[in-house]
Amino acid sequence: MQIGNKLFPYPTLNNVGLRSCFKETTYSFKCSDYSDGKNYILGDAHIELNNHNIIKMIEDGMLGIGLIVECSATVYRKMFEIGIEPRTICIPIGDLRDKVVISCYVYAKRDINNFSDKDFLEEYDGYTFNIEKNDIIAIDDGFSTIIDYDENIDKKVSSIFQVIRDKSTDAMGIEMKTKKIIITLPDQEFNNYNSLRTTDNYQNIIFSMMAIPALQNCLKELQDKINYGESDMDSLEMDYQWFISVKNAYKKQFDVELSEDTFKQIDIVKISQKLLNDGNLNAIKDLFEIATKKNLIGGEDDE
Amino acid sequence: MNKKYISFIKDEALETLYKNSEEVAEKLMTNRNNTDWLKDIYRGEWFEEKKYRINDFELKTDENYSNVDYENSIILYENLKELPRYILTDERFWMWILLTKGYRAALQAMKINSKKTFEQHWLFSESKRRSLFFNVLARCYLRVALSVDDSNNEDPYWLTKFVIEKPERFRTLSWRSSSSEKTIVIGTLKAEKDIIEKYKDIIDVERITYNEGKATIYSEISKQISLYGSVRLIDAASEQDIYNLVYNKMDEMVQKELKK
Repeated sequence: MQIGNKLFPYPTLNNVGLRSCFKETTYSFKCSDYSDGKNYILGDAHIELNNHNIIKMIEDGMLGIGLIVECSATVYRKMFEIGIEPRTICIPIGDLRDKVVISCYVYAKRDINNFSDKDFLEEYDGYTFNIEKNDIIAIDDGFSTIIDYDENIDKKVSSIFQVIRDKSTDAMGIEMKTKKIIITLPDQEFNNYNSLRTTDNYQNIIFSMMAIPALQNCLKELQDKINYGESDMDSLEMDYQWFISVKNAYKKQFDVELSEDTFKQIDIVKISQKLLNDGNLNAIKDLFEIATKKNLIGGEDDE
Repeated sequence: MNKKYISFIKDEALETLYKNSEEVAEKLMTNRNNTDWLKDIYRGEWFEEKKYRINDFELKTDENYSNVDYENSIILYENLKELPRYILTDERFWMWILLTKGYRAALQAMKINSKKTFEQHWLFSESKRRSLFFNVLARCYLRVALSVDDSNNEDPYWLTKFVIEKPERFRTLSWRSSSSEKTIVIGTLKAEKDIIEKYKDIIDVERITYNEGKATIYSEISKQISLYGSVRLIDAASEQDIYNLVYNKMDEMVQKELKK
């Protein structure tokens, strides 16, 4: 659940200062989230609030604090009552997959007449409001996380590709999906690829013809999204889980994190080759050796 | 009942279905009883076994599928409910069910007329949530899972019957994320049922339409619930809160219709 910049017919408190209708009051949801392998845990979940009037209303049971955990992919949505004192919440990890949104709101547990606060912004000075049961008083849209990455996610970059037969096409196609980059081939070419793919001699050649252009294409698209401010690194990881493998491989190879600033500037053509084991250069070498019959398993010199 | 391990369709096989949906749809139209054609589409291994086991259940078949829809939905729910949600909502799991145990029943439940039917009701080509509620068998499971009334020991499926009798009563609600909270579904269904009962001798409530027939009373009610949830914490609402909201809104809508 996300409120965003929705407007309410009465003053609300928001952890994003500009959206808040209070002068000095601050409100925020705190927790440490982690997994122990069996559960997704929101450790010490609590709110921080510096408004005595609202705190008193919470203590008197007029207001409640609802922590919402929502996972659209698994049709999971549950509210946990928390308080100002920390509470640890455990959710079976099997209930969640992919994107999980955690948010926290203070809400009216019953109708409240003549709600007012000394810290309302000036335009609300002197006004009182009738609040209805379940109306939202304070908003923290929280954060989102990804649960249960694909089991291939930490393996080598080559595992992020999937080559598929597409009988309706007459050219190689490239498509970015959440978990993998899909490369499609026409029927006959797929059959040829299928025959060649298990032979070590042709791995670099196949990489250079298919995987490297596919990776280049996709990384360029993501780089553009970042450069044009259409996305950020967190969102890219959420939307394209294969990008996590790319980040991991980059760090392993260059011993430095692939930060947003770095990603904006890297040479995609070069990095794509490096991440895929210098596939283009090795392919030229392999082709040369094949052409000169020096490295063919089952070739002329093989008995 | 014998137990068997569940499987997922392999990623490569699944992507092959996506990329060749037209040919697959044609195969489904002409092969209603067996899946021998699978090898024509993809020559590798189709499925990979997972560590979870389920009862080796059978779905009923009937050319008039509405005769077995309710029963099959309960069979799916009863035999799958112990699986974790991340399995039960995974496209790869449902594609395994569709291409094995559920094949014949699925083809009876929804006739495949084009690649679009296949893409929308077998594959998860829409958003994840909508795809689940579009999928010809996953939605049967979810209709039960979200409407089973555990507080009614005598007949926990009394609201499920109400849903399957006319899926429109639940469909538009199910597309909205708030309906993942079961309290909202149960409260809504109970109110819908009571209003239909209240006016049964006066007006067919389910025939009331809006927007020149494009919207039903149920899609309007789903909108009203979303509206309520846009400024209130709907997750904090009790079943009674939702019941009152839906009952009062529907009552108001019916009264307006009667005055026309």
